[in-house]
Amino acid sequence: MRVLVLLLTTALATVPLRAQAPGTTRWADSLAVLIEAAVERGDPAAFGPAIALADRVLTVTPADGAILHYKGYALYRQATLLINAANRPDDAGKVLEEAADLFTRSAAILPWPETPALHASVLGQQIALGGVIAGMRLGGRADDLFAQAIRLGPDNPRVLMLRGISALFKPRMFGGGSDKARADFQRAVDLFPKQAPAPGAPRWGHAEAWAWLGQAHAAEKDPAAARVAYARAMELHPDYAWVRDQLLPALDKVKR
Amino acid sequence: MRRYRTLLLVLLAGAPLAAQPVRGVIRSVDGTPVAGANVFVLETLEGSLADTTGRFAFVTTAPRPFTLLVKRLGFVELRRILTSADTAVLSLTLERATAALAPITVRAGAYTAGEERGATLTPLEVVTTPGTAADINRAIQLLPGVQAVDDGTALFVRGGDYTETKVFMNEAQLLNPQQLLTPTGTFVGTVDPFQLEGIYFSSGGFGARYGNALSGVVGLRTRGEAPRHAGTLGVGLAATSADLALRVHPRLTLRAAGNRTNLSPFFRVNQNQRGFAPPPSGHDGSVSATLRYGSTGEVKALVLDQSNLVGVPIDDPAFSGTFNSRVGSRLTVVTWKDVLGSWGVLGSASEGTLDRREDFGAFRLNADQRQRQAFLQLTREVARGATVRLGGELEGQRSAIRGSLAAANAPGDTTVRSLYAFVQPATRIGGFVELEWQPHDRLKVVPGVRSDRSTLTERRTVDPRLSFAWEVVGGVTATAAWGIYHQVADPLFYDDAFGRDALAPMRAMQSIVGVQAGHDGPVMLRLELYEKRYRDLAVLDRAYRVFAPAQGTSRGVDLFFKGRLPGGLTSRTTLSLLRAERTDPETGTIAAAAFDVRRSSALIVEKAFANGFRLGANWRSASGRPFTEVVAATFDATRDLFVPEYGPPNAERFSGIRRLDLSASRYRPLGAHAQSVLYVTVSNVLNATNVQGWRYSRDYRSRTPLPSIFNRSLYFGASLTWQ
Repeated sequence: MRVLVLLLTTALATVPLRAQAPGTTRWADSLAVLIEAAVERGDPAAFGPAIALADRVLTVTPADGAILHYKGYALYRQATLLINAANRPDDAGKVLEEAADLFTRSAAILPWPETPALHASVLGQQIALGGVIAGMRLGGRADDLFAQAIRLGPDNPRVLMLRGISALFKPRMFGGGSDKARADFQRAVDLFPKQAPAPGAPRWGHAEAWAWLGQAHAAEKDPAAARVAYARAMELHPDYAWVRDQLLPALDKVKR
Repeated sequence: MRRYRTLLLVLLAGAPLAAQPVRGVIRSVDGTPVAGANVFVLETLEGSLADTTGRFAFVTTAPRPFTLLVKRLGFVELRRILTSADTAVLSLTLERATAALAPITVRAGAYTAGEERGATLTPLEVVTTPGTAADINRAIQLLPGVQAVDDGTALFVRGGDYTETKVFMNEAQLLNPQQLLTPTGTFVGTVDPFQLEGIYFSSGGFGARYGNALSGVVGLRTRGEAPRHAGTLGVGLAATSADLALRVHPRLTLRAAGNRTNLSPFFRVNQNQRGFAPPPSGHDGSVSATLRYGSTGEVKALVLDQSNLVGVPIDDPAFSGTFNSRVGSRLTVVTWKDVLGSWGVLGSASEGTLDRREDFGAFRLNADQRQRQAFLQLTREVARGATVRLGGELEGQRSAIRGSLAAANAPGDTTVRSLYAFVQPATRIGGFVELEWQPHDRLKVVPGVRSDRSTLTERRTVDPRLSFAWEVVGGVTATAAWGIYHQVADPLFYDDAFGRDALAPMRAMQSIVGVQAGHDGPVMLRLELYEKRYRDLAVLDRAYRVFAPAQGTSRGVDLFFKGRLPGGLTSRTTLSLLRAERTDPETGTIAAAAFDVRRSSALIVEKAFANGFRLGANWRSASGRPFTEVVAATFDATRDLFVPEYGPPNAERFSGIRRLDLSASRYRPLGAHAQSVLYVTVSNVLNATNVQGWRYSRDYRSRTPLPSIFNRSLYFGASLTWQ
């Protein structure tokens, strides 16, 4: 069975390369897979192959909006881990700067709603690193980007999830709050089953939205609802290490 | 299992039969393995990353010959055609790139405030510094190399007089970088900091672009394009201000700003220590338009209009009365930047006027200046890592000075008797060329030369300048700069009534060495040692006669630290040690310079809270500046006054300056598009006297200290921003 999985992985890795069409849809899909694998590993270094593949494609098609988007997305995820798991905020700051630049370039070419939403999330991370002054400088721009994302995709579940994450971490006095976050996450999990992304377009986040909804419930002291949400996340993604190893044990601790 | 087998067969059926391995190792020119290099086949994009030993291996389906590409940040991209003969393990060598690296931004003597990478401070850090009252000049005074000589906002840089530091706005020189002039200093700088997006300050060693400045340079860049409509309304104890930015078209932004300063309410809350009458007041207004055209072009037009008024009583044995100062100024500047072919172009045309009226009892001084300036700079990358800058400026100046005495022969007599009057036109033309060369990824050298000629000096000056920065190890950069600097003396000095018509251009030779640790992160430490040698200086003696040529030296050490402290505190510390000597115009001997403040230090600690609160403290101290003691006085019966006799020049010193300022502010969003900031500042919390001078008795036998105008005082206000 192990041999079979290995063969399957090798074959899958080869197929999109071999079957490259004139467009870059396949590359975008490959990048999505590599990024999700890196997110799963929870190691900033694991994003290397995805970023390397994006660089390769951008060597040939430097103005490809989808690839610019995915490289920015990979860097955003990598920066999140550098801040939270690796405690390397200075490195994260540089990665976030590059991600913001990529999202700006991508948005000028391809109007994906996720692009301004992720850009706003990057600014959110920069605000978290830079404090109140960064908030004064970047907060308005992040709000504008979220508004732009909503205009482009009013029913896009990833945009709603990212806006919910922003609201969850933003102090209430700055327009955040767990109730606002919960509403966005709830709407996101309702919309995820109805989405039908085009080939190459982002399709990540369904299980993650449930995990965030669970966190919003936990923040509102509703562990039962949180547990239900985490269970839905685990149903969609049975090996979801973040929920299994961190969020559920945290809930158990609170219960005790 | 059957399903898996089917899937496997489907996948394998599509798999290439001619898959071939590609293996190799990547090293730099010096043999070091290059980890993390992206190695791939250009035709199929199959590839892998090199491991920590520089090794890579992957399988490709591409038929040979194909192109193997190796990319790594900091190295020149490598392309190699692999044929069927290239079956062995590949050994690839990468050359280090210079232009591909982030440019070295550290430069001796230079500090920047802006959003760009490598900036020393952000603009918000500048305006929120406790005790600076959001004044650009006062914030710059807290950078190393600026001496706290008096209460004012003038910039005394590294042992130089404040007239040796030039301030440029959008490439045009400001004629009055300080406002609200009094005999012991100026109250505020000339520019609203919220209208600025970038500040450059050089305490020395600046490049060939800047001429006619002996000591320092301040470059201010006003805000241009606005991302959306925005406005701010500010009300404080001594000032009200408003500004508006309208993005009338995606390519056109209009801005208008106004500020009214009046210290009357401030003195009602606090003490009017020096009896200002009238209290300092003034206004400034600006309008600007920024037009973006094409993908690279931008034109910015700015008009800045300012006026202010102040009266301060003077109690001197020779005169007792009020010093009144009324100053009006206007600057109009149009700036253009674009990229034409391979040249970057930056140009500006400006006109500045300054109208100064000073009354000192019956004596009146009218000084009018008009200056027109054109500046052009061309920039081009001539080779990898080498950028050449060349340009020049043409400056026409007209100074008119008139001194008069009110006749007052009878009550109501308003006639005046002219003491002197002259008009001094002057033209200066200058050109420069500079090469910014990064021959190595850790080394940057900037040689340059400029030449100027003024109709006042009727001499051509040639100023070679050189600076270099060498990143010794990661994040630690050694810097050095050397250069010759010339400046034309005040046009007033060229009139026979005061001075002479053949004054040479004043000259300084600057040498700086330093080291900086950290330049792109939260912690930065910079240490610089410098020496300046002056000659051909023109200075005024006590009788306002020009003395020339004077000479002098300045030697010192500047230390700057910016970093995070435990508990989420941020800190900035500066320490400047100086020894400055100049020819004393009374005796012709070398003595301590009037601005020889041997130690200046500042410690700024700030804490920002997540709920929008921000607290700050600023402790400043400086050793006393020198003064010349009055040792005796003889009575002159014909003039009915005592004539002082002076001791050795600048041999005595004031007691120094100590000042603690505290500030608190609260930032609060009001909905999605509005924010408010409430702030309160207590200046000179310890109410230190900080003596600025002496008030002598009529016979000079006794004296009383003249305290700082900044006794303990409270200032508060609020601003509302909409965007």
